[in-house]
Order: sequence, then structure tokens, then C-alpha cells
Amino acid sequence: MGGYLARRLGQAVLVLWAAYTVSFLVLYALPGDAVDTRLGADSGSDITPEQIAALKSDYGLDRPLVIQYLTQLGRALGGDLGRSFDNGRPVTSLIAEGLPATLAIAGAALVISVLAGGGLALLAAGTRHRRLSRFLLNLPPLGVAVPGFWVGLLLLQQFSFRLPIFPALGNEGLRSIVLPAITLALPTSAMIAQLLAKSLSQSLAEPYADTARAKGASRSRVLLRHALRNATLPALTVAGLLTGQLLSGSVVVETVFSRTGLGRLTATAVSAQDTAVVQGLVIFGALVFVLVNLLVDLLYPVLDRRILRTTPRILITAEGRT
Amino acid sequence: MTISTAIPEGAEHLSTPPAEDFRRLATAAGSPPDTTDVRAGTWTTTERVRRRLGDLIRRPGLLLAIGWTVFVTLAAFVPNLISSVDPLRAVPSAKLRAPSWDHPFGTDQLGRDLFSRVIHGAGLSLGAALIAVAVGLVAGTVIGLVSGFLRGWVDGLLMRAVDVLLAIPGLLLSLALVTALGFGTVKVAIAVGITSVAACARIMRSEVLRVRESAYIEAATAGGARRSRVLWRHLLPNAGGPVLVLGTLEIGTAILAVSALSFLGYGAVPPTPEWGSLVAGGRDFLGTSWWLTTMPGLTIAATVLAVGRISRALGGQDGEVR
Repeated sequence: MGGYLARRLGQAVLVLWAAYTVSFLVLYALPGDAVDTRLGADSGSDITPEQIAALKSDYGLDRPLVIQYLTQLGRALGGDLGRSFDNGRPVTSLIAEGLPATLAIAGAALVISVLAGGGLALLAAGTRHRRLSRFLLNLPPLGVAVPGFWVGLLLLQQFSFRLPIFPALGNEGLRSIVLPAITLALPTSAMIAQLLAKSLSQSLAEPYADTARAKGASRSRVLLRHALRNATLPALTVAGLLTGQLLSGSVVVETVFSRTGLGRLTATAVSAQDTAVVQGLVIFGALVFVLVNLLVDLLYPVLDRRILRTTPRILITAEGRT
Repeated sequence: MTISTAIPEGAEHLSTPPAEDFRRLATAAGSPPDTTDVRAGTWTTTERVRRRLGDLIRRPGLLLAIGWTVFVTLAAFVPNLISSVDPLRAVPSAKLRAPSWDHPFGTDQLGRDLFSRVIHGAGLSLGAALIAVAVGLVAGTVIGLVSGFLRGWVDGLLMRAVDVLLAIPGLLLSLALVTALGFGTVKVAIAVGITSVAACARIMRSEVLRVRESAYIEAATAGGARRSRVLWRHLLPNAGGPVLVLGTLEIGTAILAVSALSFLGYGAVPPTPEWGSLVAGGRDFLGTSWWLTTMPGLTIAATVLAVGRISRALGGQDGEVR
């Protein structure tokens, strides 16, 4: 267990480092200089070349790429992700400010998706009516196909403008969370429903399900006590993917509902071509993904002892990919 | 996004039938191609076509999906055939009209015909999605092919790089690319395409690893074919099927991602119609003019659904949970 843990931790650190490098290459090494574009786009010609040079040296953008990379990486290891090009504030504190609001809607969305997605899969697997089952199984592809920003706007239209039940914008109060959370939960519910329905139908075809039925267990008991427990494990592998989806979804959802948070921070940073903030957010996204996968991998052997004893290598390749 | 990028099962009509393999084997071994089975070949094709047509009639959903896709494709290539109204012509006297016979989708705040704008926006939105898929397919196929063919340290290196791409949430990665590259439809398309490279590369690699063990590859190599010839003539055509199916699946995902980025304002410059930005343009009129967001949004959702339905049929996964 100790060796496995160490290896898994080492891998996580490596992936993070690589994600850092990729984001650096994309944002700093690709042609197109953020400082030039921003100053040029903002204000024509009333900024002197000297001022641009001073600004560049202030952010360390005048040094060779390799030096920039190494100094930035060094700082990032100490928890410093640089300063925003836009307002000069530390990226880490910008992220810390946005996190609670995003966490609130993402958390609510996760609860909704587990309930809705899980409920749908269970109902589809448990019902005796083939038509109902087919209908339910046709819903998830629908949930994945509708654009999130459109669903958000439709909800706003119906429940804020036509029927003033929920506030149309802002962060205040529990009521403002409802619509954004539902919008955010739509694709993730569909993902959970698809995956769980598939693994439930596989579990129900296993010999142990037959055994349980032969011993006289009721339909719901076979489904809930036997199949569900075994079907949940494979569904756990997408936890990292789900959090990534929630994080990406927040960019659109927070824009639609005019909320503040990480997603809004991302949208404004991209619009302003604020390279440092965008990089910080990408690294944060990768960090969350890696941590969630690490957690799932560590949880796996606890939930299912067989995995650790037989094939620990499967865990390493089960890194939340699809 | 669709959650399963695993190799679609039952893509047998896309891979080469055994008879074809033998012919190739013969060609590769130096004997002239066998032409005697041509008539038998056409007979099976006709039979297959007839069977497929029969299938189609029994599946109205698929038929509808094909019809819609043809319609949208026509709109993308010859928009004037469907709507001859100038999408940029503003008629101030006819602003914010609800959908009617003259204006099927209504008019916007400047009196422009929304139906015409959606039809003329199809070219940019679908074109961007196709560019995105092409970028992902080509880059992914090359990486997967090289990785699976060469094996060894090249394989290890490329696959680790692909893992890193998977660790960064898709939308965040494309937002980082957009920040670096700048705004515009083509840049957005490239940014979206790069996020699908990883999935394509993985599938291509696993297919190459499967196919390279086949007898006809062995025969070609034994017959003295050069490595490059084996790669292009034998490996690529036989391993490419599942990747192509994934490609059709990715079209829907790409349409959604491109329209999300265009909704956030990183796509085409305002007067030019584009599906995502059309929805964004209706945001200010949510309370009064529902059609401004609903109609373009419905168009996006219908297109993604239709493409998804067709690609599921191509992947042979009809009626099955994915």
C-alpha cells in the first residue's frame, strides 16, 4: 500500500508539472504578445515604447523564455502564480476570492446530478415497462446535446422574467443558486445517468444477480443491494471528468446568470487576454482534476478490497479517462 | 460532451471485409490483384444498400436526423437557396417582431430577419466545427499511428503528452489557446480541435496495436513491403474506422464547444451571424422577445442531436446505452 501510494502521488505531481508546462508553452511561447495586444487594442498610440518596455520588465516578459519558465515554475512551487496583467493583483488571491461562489453552485449541481442521473439510471434499470425504460435512456443524449448557455437563458426567461420566482442575476442568497445549479447539473446528470445505466445493466446480467434472484430476493433488492453497489465503482472513475465539466461549465453559467466566481474570472481574463490569470486557472483546473482522481484511486481499494490484491496496475491506468 | 470515447463496437461495415484482406495479401505478396470476385462484390453491396434502406424506413428518428443534417448542410453551403433575405439588412420599422409567416424566427432589435441570420450563420458555425474535428482527427491519427507503430520510448513519450492534455478540462484548454491565439472563428475552431486530439490519439493507437498483429500485415512485411507502405496502405485504412466514427461523434461536441466560445464573445465580430453569438445577442431581450434566444438555441440543439443520432447509427450502437 505504501509503495502504491508513493507511486500514485509521484504520478500526480508529474501530471501537474506537465500541465504547468503545457499551459506555459501555450500562453507564453505561442506567437502573439499579450502585453502588446492589450496595450495596442486598448488605446491606440498614447503609450510610449518606453512604458511598454517598463511594463514588460516589470512582469519579467523581456527575459528569455527558458528563464521565464524556470523562475515562474519556481514561484509556482512556492504557491505564487504571478500577478494579473489587468489589475496587478496576485492570481492566487483572485482564485481564492472566486472559489466559494463557484463551489456553492458546483456543489449544488453535483448533488442534483447524482440524484437526477442516479435516479434516472435506477428507474430505467428497475422498471418492468420496456417503453418507459427506452424513453428514460433516450433522455441523457438529449441532456448532452443542448447547449448549457441556452438552457440557462431559457430557465431565466421562464422562472425570472415570466414567473418571478428566482432572481435573474447576482450572488445573494440561496435562491440565486437554484437556476445556475440546475443549468450546470444538466450535462453532468446526463453523464452519470449514461454511465450508471450501462454498468447497472452489466451488473444485472452477472451470475451473482441470478443467484440473488434464485434465492428469492425481490426485484428492488437485487437492484439496490446487489447491482447498484457493484455498478457504482466503475461510475466513480469519471469523478475527475465530472469535476472538470463542472469547472468548465461554470464559465458559461456564471456569465449567463451574471454571477461572480471562478468561471466569471476565467471569462473576463480571456476577454482581457490576461495571460497570468488564465494560466493560473488552467493550473487550478488541472490541480482539481489530479486531486479528485488521486482521491478516487485511493478510495477504490478501500471500497473494493479485490482490486488491491489482484491488479494494482489497473488503477494507474484508470485515471479518469474515458 | 459525450462521456464514452471507448472504441465503438460493431463498426464492422467500416473495416475491410475478409475477402478484401486476402486480395490485399495477394497484392502485397507480389501477385496481380484478383479481379474475379468483382461481381460478387457488387451483389453484396446492392444487398447491403437495400437492407440499409429497409432499416432506415423502420427508424423514423434516424431519418429525421438525416433530413435535418442535409438541411443544415445545405444552409451552410448555399444559404441563399433557403433564405434569400440579406442577414445584415436592418429594417427599423420591423424590429422585434415575433415569429410569423414572413419572419419564421422573428426579427431582432435592428429589424434583421432572424431566420436568415441563423441560416447564414450555419456556414461559420458548422465550418468551425468541421475544422475543429479535422484538427483533432488529423493530429490524433498521426500521433496514435506513430505511437502504435513505433512503440518503445516514442510511444511512452507521446502517450504521456496525451495524458497531460486529458488532465486539463477541455474548455479551459481551449480558452487558454484562444487567449494565446486571439479571437475569431478559425482560431476558436483550432482551439476546440486541439482538445479532442487526445481521445483520437488513444483510439488510433489501440486500433493500430490490434491491427498490426493481423496476418495481412505480417504478409505485407514478409513480402518485402517498406515500413512506410505498410503504415499508409495497410495500417491506416484498417485502423482508421473507429477513429472516423469517433470523429462523427466529435462533430456534435465541437458544435457545442464552438457555439459556447462564440456565445462568450470570442468568435466572429458582431454583425456577422454565428449561432452562439446569435443566442448571446438575444440576452438583453429575454423578458420581451423570447424568440431571439430560443430559435438559434433550438437550431444548435437540433443539429447536435441529429449529428449524434447519425454517428450512433454509424457506430452500430442503435438502441444501446452509451
